[in-house]
Amino acid sequence: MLTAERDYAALYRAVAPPLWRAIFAYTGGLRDLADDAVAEAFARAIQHDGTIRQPHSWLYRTAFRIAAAELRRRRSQAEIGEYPYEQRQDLAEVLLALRRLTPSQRAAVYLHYQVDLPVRDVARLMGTSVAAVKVHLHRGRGRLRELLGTEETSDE
Amino acid sequence: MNERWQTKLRVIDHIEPSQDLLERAEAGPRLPDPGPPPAARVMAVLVAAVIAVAGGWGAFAALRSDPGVGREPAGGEDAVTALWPETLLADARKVQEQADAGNAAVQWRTEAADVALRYAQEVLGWPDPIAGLSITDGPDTVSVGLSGPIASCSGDSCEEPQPQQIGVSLTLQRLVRPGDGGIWSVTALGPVSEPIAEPRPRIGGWPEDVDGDGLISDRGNERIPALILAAGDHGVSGYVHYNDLEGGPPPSNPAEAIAMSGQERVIPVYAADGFTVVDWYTISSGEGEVLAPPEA
Repeated sequence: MLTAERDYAALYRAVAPPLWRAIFAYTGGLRDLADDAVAEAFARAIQHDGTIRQPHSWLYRTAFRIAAAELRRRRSQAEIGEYPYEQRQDLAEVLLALRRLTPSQRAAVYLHYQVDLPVRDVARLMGTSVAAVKVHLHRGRGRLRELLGTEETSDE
Repeated sequence: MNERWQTKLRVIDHIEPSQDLLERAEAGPRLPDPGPPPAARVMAVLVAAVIAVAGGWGAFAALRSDPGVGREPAGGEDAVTALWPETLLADARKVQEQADAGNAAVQWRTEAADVALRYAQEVLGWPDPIAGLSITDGPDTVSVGLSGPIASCSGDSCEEPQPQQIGVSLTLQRLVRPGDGGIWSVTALGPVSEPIAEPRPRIGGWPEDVDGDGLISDRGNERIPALILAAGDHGVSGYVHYNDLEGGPPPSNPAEAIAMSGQERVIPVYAADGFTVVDWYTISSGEGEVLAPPEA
């Protein structure tokens, strides 16, 4: 029989990295807030062990709620943090652009275009409607086109 | 090929979370949890539950049409203004004061989706509800579609929902103070889709292009609608998913899709949120009245 720790370790490995990056995008690059939201979501999942039917969706919705509450509480946007030199300039450009979007637009754009999730899955994970996600994508996409450019680039 | 902004976003995929997050999680929650509702709210829950269970849709329709519900009351602080969590304006004002003072236990009241989900869990008894959000009448009135746990589909299969687990819609309003920070209250409840008086199931027609970009599909590079208007086997209006309808080589329209199916299949009919299952549609070749989609 697997222990709860082993179960959650596996769940963490599968869910935490993309979830963390989605929250990182949602907060406009506040990595300490992303850390807090993801750790807290997993802590609450462990606390409610056995009562959560769909932990993947539950973790996303919980982490987004926690991050939203923390964003409201902080009401400030931190400086771009410490990152390796080769990432710093690109990341700063992207994060400054993302901060011109609303949090929901950032998360929807990241989950749909980077994680490649269909709109319906994005809506489920963010705890909102398909229609709302499509509006977020439409507006966020338009803003990022203005800020980061529309020229086509080759896939890596 | 990607647009430049999409390529640039990839830099986020190279950022790693801190290494100690699982250890922090295993140490237990650190941020305040809203906790159980106070006794007054429990009473309001019970009152609302009695209304919800015993009143039936007729009672809900009456509440929806009551001009006193959901508005600033003429009868003062003791007037009934909402269904849940508080029914009296005076009680709602007290909660607003707590929220304004930063009381973490009531911060969930400032998020309409959180209030809707709590309602589903505490009043309707759904353990894992799904909320869809749509603004209906300005920034301080919101309609939220809710579905129960079995209404969510996985893979190619959906379970038949029980009647009480088919979606409902809640109307929530900021009754005490408008704008960000104002607490939400549930002021009305009704079914997601009203039954329609069609003698036979019908299918066809394009849904509204909600974001105005001329694209309705998920992927943004197709011009095939993801949701197609349909009336279910039990007469409930809604939408079927293109992928459900497809069931084989891609058809060019709903009529072709039905003709190509060749055998009977049952697919879900969703509410406008594209997720809440409100009915089922049986597809069999040659059956069903097909409506041509309107001109683009």
